[in-house]
Amino acid sequence: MTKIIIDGKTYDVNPKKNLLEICLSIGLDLPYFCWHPELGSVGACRQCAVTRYHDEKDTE
Amino acid sequence: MLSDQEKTEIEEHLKEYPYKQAACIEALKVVQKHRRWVSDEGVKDIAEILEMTPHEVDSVATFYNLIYRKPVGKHIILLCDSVSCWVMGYEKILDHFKNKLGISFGQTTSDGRFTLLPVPCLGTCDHAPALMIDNDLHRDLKTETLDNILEKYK
Amino acid sequence: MERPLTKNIRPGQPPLDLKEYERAGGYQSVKKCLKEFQPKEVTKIVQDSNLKGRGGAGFNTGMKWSFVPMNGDIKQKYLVANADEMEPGTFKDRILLEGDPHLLIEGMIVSAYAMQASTGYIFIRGEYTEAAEILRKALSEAYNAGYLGKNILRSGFTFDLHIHTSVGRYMCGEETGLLNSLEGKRAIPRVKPPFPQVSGLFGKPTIVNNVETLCNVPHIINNGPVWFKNLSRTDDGGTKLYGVSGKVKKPGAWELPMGTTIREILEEHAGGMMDGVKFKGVLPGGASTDFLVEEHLDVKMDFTNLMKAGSRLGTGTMIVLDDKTCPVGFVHNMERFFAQESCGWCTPCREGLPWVEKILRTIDSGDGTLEDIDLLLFHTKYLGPGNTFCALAPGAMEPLQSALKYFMDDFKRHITQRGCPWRH
Repeated sequence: MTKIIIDGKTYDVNPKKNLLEICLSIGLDLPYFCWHPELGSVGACRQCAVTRYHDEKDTE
Repeated sequence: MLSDQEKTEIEEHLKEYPYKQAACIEALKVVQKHRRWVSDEGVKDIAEILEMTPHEVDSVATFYNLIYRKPVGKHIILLCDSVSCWVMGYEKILDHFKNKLGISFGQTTSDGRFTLLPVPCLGTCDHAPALMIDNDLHRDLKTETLDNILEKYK
Repeated sequence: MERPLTKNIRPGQPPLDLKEYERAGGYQSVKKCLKEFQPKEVTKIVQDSNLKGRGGAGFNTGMKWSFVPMNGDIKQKYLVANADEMEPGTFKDRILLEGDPHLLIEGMIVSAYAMQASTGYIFIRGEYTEAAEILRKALSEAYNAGYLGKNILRSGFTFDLHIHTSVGRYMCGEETGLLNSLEGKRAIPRVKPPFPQVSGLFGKPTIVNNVETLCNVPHIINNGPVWFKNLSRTDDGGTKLYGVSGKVKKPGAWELPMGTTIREILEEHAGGMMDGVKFKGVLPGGASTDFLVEEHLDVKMDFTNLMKAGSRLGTGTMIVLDDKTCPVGFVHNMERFFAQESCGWCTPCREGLPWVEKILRTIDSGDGTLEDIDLLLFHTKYLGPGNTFCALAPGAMEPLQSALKYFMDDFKRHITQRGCPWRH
C-alpha cells in the first residue's frame, strides 16, 4: 500500500492500480470517457489527463 | 470477386509482411489500380483474401486521401492547396479549372474525363504552384499553359 | 565546401546507377562496417558525430539507435526510412530520393547493421511516383550486386529492404502513425512509452529515421565523426539541405553548412525578395514552426539557435511571408491543412483544429470579433505540448501563436475594417 494526498486528505492505495481507477473507487467524481477497467487506458478523450509535476516547487 | 491478376498482385505483397492484415493498404492500391476506385464489393473482396472483416478494411480505406470510395473520372487531377502554392497563386489555377472544365474540388467533368481533388503539399514548393495528373507531376504552373497540359490526357 | 549529401546529384539528368555510384565511392561504408566495425562501434561513431534527426525532432541519431536492445535473443528488428514528406513547405527529401537513391540504400544498410535489423522498409509517399520508380530500380541493382539480401558480401549479415508507397495522410509522417500504417491500419499514433526502439513495428524493436538523416550515415562512416562535426558552423554536426519557397527571386534548395544564417540563405542563395515585395516573416522549418521576423535574420539555422530565437529548425525548408500577402490567409491555409489531416483520435485536436480553422475563416472574411482573438489564444494554450496525444496539434499551434505575437495588428485590422485589407 502507498499513501497519496488528494485535496488535503490522505488515502492508502494500491500502487499497482492507475490513478483514475483509484480516485473513482474512493468516490471522487472525476471526468473520463474512454477508459474502461477491462480495456485499460486509451488516452484519446484527454478528459482525465493530469499534469505531473516533479515536486511541490515545480510550476511547469 | 478478385480477378486472377488482382489476386496474384496481392499475394506478391503478402510476401513482404509477416501478417496478412499488414498488406491491407497494398491490397487497396491493387484493387484501385484495376478498378479505378474501391467500391463496397472491392472492400468485401479484400476482406476475404486478408481474413479481415469488411468493416476493418473500410476503416482503413476511408482514412487515406488517395483511396477513392466513390467513382472517379478517367484522370485524377491533384491540385496542391497548401501554403506555398497558395502564396504563389494556386487559386488562379483552380479558377481556370472552374471556368474551363466546369468543375471544382471533389467534382468530375460530365464526360467523365477528369476528377479534380485538392492534395496536401506535393513537396515541390520551389516550383509552386504544382499539380499531379495520374502519376505525372506538373509544376511552375501558369494559367496560359494549363490547357496544353490537359490536352495530353484524353 | 564539401557537399556529401548532394555531390552525386545532377539536375536534369537521371541519378547515378550502381556502377557509376560505386565509381564515385559508393558502398565503401558498407564494406568498411562489415569488415572493421562491430555494430555497437558504428552506433558510437554516429553518436559522436552529433548527427541530429533531420525529420524535425532533432534527436541525436546515434543515441536513438543506442536504445535498441542488442542482446542476441532478439531475432527480428526493423529499420524504417521515413520518406513520407508532407509537411507544407518541405521538399528536401524528394531531391535526395530522386537524385541519389543509392545513398539512401547505403545509409540504410549501415544503419541496419548498427542495430542488427534484418528487415527494412522505405515508407515513401504515394505522390512521389518518380522517386518510387527510381528507388525500385536502385533496390534491384543493389540486390543483384549482393549489397542486400542474405549474407551481404559474405559477412553473415542479412538485410532485406522493401518499398511501401503510402496512400496519403500527413499522420504517416509521425513515427508511430507510420508504424500503424505499415501494419495496414489507420495511421493513428501510439502512446510512448513503450518507444519504438523497444516495441515498434509488429511489436519488435524498430528505428524510424528521416531520409536525410540516413543519407548522412555513409559519409560519417567513411570520414569519421570529427570530419562531420567540422562541416558545421555550430555544435550540431554536418551539412543541411536548406530550402526556400515563397515570393523570393530564386526559390530552391541548397546543401550548406549546418548553422548558416537565415539572411545568408535568403539573400545569397534565394536571391532575396521578388521586386515589389518586402520580407515580413518566415517559418524556418516548414508549417509546424514559429514565425521569425526581421530582427531574427542573423540567427544561425541549427537546432539550438533557432530554439533560442523562439522557433525550431524543423525540416529546414523555409516558407517566406512577404508584405503583400495576408498573414491571416497564410495562417488560415495552414490551419485548414492541419484540421483536415488530424487523425481524429484525441479530442483536443479533432475538435480544436476545425474550430480554429473556422475562426480564422471568419476573421479573414471580415466577420470576426475581438473575442475571436481570445478564443485563438485559448487554443494555442490548450492544444499545446502535453495536452494532446501526439505532436500534430502542438505543431499546428506554432504558426498561430507566433502570428498572433508578431502580426496582431493585421488580425485586428481584419476585424475593425470588416474585411481583408490585402484583397483587391
